[in-house]
Amino acid sequence: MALFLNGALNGADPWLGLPMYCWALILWWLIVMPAAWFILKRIKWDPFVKFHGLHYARKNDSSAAIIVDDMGDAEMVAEHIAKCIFSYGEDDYEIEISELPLHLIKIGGIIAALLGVILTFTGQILLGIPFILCGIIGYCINRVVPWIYAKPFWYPTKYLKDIDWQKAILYKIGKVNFDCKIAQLLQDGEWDQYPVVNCGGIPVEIVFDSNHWCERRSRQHKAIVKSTRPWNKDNPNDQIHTYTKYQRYLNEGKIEAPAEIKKDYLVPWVRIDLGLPFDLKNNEWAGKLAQMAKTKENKPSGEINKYTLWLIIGGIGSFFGILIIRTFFKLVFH
Amino acid sequence: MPVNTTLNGTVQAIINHTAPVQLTANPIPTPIPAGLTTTALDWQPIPVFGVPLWAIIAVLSFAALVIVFLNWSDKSRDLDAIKPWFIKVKELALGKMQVIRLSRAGNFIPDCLNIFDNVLSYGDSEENINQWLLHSPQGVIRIGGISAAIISEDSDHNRDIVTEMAICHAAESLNENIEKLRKELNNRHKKLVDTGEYPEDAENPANLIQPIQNGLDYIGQKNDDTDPIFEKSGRMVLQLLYPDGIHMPAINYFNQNRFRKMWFKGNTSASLGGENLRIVDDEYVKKNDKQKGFFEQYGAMLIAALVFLGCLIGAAAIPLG
Repeated sequence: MALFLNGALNGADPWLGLPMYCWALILWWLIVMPAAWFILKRIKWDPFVKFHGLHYARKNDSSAAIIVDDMGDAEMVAEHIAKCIFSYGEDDYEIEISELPLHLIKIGGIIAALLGVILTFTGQILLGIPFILCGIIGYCINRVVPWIYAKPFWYPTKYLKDIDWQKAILYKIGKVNFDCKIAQLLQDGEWDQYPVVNCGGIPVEIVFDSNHWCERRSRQHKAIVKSTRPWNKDNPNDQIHTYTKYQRYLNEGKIEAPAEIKKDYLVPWVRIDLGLPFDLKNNEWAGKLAQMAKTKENKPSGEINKYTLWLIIGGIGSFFGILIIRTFFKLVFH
Repeated sequence: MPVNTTLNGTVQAIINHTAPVQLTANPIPTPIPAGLTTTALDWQPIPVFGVPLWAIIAVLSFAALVIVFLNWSDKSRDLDAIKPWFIKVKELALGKMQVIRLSRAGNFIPDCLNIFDNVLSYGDSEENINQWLLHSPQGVIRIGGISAAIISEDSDHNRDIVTEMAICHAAESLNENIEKLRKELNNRHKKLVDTGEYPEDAENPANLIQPIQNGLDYIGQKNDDTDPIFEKSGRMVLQLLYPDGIHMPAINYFNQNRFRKMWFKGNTSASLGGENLRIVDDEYVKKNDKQKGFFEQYGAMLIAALVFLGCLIGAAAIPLG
């Protein structure tokens, strides 16, 4: 038997007698791959943690949003985090399954399982075990079929009917988020979008979230979700799926604000006067003007004269250089 | 029965020495050299090329590494637009500040500017004269531990979007309810005059209440040529209505079309920078400073040039022994 590469990697190790390529493969998957994964993540992904929303926005084909809280802490998130109250992917769904003759399949399962047991006891174990397994699956058909349906099921297809199954599987594997499209649909197209700037081809909105409503793990967010569900159940034609609509209904008194949240934010006059000053006076930046004047005064002489020293050094260097060349030529040619 | 009757023709011919002997034998497997070993992974699924299964797995393992690299690179590439945020931060030093410039062209530009006396500028740059006054400390946001002032070319001070939104909310609320408010003030004024608490010629506060449609209304300036009057400003009315400050919804989406109307026209960053340059030229830099003599400006350089030439001529002219 001719060994690949003349057996260069088939050398047996002294401990278990395994060929070296086995160890190479084991080390590759146990050390190299996890290390590469970790290092690349640390270098290429983690430093930009506050801007990951830009990536998710591109993936979801949505806009991004810079969320700023009352302390000025900001983060760039994908649109669904800034706007949608619900995470539809986390909801439980009753999947519609085509009707099956469940009783017949269950009876068939019981028969197959019994047959498998008999075969096993008569010594035909290899034949008996598959029969038993088929029997169990047949008996639990009402659980197995939904499980199979749920695996390739991608939650937005429940709401959005124009997604074909190939795209659904691709989007499911890619973990694409369609919450914005679903929320928009459930609110009869009502949607607020105010892009302020463009960042890498993605429209970016600025959101002031004074009370941390948009933080998925905050108690405020959980309270909003809790208080919105009964409303949506009672008002299927006027559902609330976005924070703006929720805020509007709070202001209109249609919904009672949960104890955990504040429905408004007070901007004090000190802040307002600093943010939108009546008249900016020159004396507020007189120091800057003085600095500019000083820089200007020093500029004409400073600009050109900074080369003076280099010119003198260059002259002296040239002097010795020319002397050396002349001496060399004299020694060689005379 | 004779033996040869049971043999076929070929064997019989061999026995009779009438045909050459042709022996066929199964090939003996080459023995594996000492010190080497094999496993099931040495199976060659494509025997023609002699490539064993483990070599195919090795190639796939390397491909997996390439895929991991491409995965993170691809994800990271989506964030290229914000990477200047972290590149610029390396420039941060004493006298520098990170900013986010929301340009009118609609771009998100992280930048790093000089800051001196609360004025953000491009330093001594003659190409970019824009300047901003860092007037509002609340107009600074923090992303990833880095503070940045929000600025835009069409404002000469840093922008506090919360303030812009609050004023707009209050102004819109005032405008919507102004008739009702005037009526209430009028009734109250009439009542107080009737009871004698106010003199008859006291000014009716209902006449002071004006809608706030833009920035000029807010500061109480009739037009660009007049000075703002605080007593006739929307600012004063709003403070009377909301003495503690302006209440605004807890969550707000910054709508430029809606909130932009409160900005003052013409107060751009380039206008501030240009005006400052003019003030410096006209008022700060002395006349004699601006008109330095030739030798004062170029004297040192001229002497250095003469030294340089002298060296060249000297080196060429000195006789070698």
